[in-house]
Amino acid sequence: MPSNIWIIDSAGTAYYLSGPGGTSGVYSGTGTPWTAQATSPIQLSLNDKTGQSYTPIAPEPVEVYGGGPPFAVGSDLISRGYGNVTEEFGLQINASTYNNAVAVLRLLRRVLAQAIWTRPIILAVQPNNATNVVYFNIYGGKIQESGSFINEEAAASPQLIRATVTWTRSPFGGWLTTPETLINAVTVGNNGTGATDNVEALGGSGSGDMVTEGSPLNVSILNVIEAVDVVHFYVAVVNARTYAALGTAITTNSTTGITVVGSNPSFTSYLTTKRRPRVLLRFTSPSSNLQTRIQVYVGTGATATVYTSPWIAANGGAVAPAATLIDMGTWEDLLDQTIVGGNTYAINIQARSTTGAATSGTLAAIETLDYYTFCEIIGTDDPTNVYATRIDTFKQRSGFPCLPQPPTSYGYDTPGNQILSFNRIRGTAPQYISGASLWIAQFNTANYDTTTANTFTVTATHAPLFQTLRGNG
Amino acid sequence: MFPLPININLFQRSLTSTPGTLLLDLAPLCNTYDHAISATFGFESMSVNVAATLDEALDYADLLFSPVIVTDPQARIMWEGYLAQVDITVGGRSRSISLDAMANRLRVRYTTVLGTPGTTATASNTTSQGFYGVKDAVISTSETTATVAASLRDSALDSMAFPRAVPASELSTGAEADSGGVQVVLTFAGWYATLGWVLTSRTDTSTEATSTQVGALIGTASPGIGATNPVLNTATTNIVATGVNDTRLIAADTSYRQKIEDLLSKGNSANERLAWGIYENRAFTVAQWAGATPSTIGYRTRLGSVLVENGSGSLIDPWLVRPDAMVEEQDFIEVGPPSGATDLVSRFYLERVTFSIDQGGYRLNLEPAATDSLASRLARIG
Repeated sequence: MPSNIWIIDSAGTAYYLSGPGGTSGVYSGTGTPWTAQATSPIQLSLNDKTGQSYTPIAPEPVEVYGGGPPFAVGSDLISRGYGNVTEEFGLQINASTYNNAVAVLRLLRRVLAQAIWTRPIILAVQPNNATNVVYFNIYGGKIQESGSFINEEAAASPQLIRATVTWTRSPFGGWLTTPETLINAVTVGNNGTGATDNVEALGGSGSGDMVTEGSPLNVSILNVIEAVDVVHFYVAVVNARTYAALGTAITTNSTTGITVVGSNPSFTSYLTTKRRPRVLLRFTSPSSNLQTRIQVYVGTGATATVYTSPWIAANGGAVAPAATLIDMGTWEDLLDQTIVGGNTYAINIQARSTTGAATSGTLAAIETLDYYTFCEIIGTDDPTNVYATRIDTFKQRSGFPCLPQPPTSYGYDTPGNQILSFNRIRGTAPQYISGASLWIAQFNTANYDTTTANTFTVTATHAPLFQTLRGNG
Repeated sequence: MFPLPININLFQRSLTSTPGTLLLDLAPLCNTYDHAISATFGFESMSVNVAATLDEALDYADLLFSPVIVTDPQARIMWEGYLAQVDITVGGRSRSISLDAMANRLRVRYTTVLGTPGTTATASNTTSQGFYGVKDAVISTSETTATVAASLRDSALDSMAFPRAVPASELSTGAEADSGGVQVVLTFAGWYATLGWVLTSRTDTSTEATSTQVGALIGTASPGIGATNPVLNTATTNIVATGVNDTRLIAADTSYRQKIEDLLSKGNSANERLAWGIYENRAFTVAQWAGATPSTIGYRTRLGSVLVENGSGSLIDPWLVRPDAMVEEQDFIEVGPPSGATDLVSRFYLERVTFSIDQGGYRLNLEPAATDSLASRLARIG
């Protein structure tokens, strides 16, 4: 008994390719026997005589390397992606007459051609004894019958078409309709400290083959407390977030800058990973002429500088904000380099007046991210309705496989789920990495003023991806 | 899609210094991306090759002057500008439309048969200006009358007021004619280019610091260009004081770009060259050129590696490499280099950067200064 393999057209009709063969699956010209596996006149090839048997082919990683010989040994891996998969396999069509056999052939060709105007058709694969089905998108294909149909096997009864199918499908398969929920309507805070803080674990039990490389995540953020009609967030997937309260009052009129905090000890070292470090500073009541800068160095000697940020306005562009969260930037971590033991990152925080007049503010805290992805979401919301912001990196709709799509972000009103605006994404939309956490910062306006007491409800769903078969996942 | 997850956010046209509503992210649709940044322009040009249907291609042609902001995977701005030209190739034929030859505010300078000079009043197409802002042109003619000159002005305005098809339309037979699909190339220009759109003049002959004058010329109050096209950031935070005074006088029919470049070409009070341009958030930047301290290395490269290090040895993503920096090739060791030399075999002043991405990966091209001789500096002054 072959595994259960079928395709689903845009109307939701199933076409079983793994029919029983023999007299159990013969199309007599009436009905729709292909809609059930037991009666389908379409049978997959099972041996070399009948054609290439089918199994999903794993996608070929497309890796970009840089450097190499003759000046270096080996090359550096720069990035990795996956393209569509083209597969070729054989099948047979059994019918009572020539015309009925060609009718089934034509039916399959029409289904494979649908993707140009409608959604991609769906390939479903459930191996024998497998609990779960894995679903792929098919973008197009062709079917070429063999010459034996009109030559040496022309007089066969029932009529038998042997054909080769070549189709192009999505690189990964996924679950159908319903993704995996990792965070379920959890209240998240807007500060790096407190009982309800700004980090929520995604957990280490996500399904699929890609959870160590990055698989799609959809995030919904329900604004529980709204200030103005603006959507503005930072959203990151982090390995770790550290928070240190500083409470350092700043008073200066220096235009060249003073050191506010030197050798901040709260920054962890991760000099041997490919994740990114990022520093954010929290201010309260910053003057309009106050700017801040950080210098990051390796070791405590404050001489081996690895990153110097630009001078950035501590008020985040807002007018007289009570509190701000300022992104001081990121830098490329030293990759695979030998570092003597005991070295960590240390940060020197500086402040200056842009005008020469007295400036003030309080450096309330420093947050550092050890992160995988970081993005900024900017848009507008509806001030009259309870409003939700979504970041979608996979399709989550009834009857569709949960597969990757270009990231989109939009706002919608929660009473009616009506989309109200589309948001801009800067950076990398969140991805699920096993064991990572979701970090969120909300701003009151299009600037970087924030209210640390704000809370919002977060839901994160994940689309498990499979290179071939699903198994228990 | 690219092997590098960047965002290429295209916005609705806006005649303000901030982008309008987000239209779409072009990155998922692009096959290629490249940008150029130069030390006396800032963000200079950017282009993407987009696969599209015919309807989508026609839609792009309606989006000239739409702002674009390109951000990298870490949410940092890579490039920023506006859509300047759309090239569409379909079925072996190509069509192009561009803002380059457009002008929606014209006047004519003429002389009569007696040699008496005159200038017509300006004429404007306010519909075009409502879309794209003001773009000036002056036409010269001789041995004519004021009436004819005005007629010439009006007929020229009729033909030039809206984006023009540029000479790139080709019909061909054979295999090329059967090529399937529609290819669209979107070419963007940096906001610095808009400084060349508006002509101005000033009769004030007093002198003032060149840096102060530049700040005034990008402002929204007269004599600033913002009084006409308020699309630039008026902040002067990134404009260092030059310490050099020059005349405020601006000859008639001089563009803002010409005057600004004339001022900045004077250098600073330390007799050093300046680098300038418009970068993130459309802010104007003026600084002493990095060649003034050639031993201060901005970027380090190494044979056999595509990685770029900053002066501290930390890695820099190649799409963030900016001009106006000294570049050192670490594998080359100079023996007894002359003191005071800017460029050596092992290092050079980075005048211009080009960066490109396609399905095969990315390329970074570091260009040294080509015209930095004394003669060329004198030519800029003259």
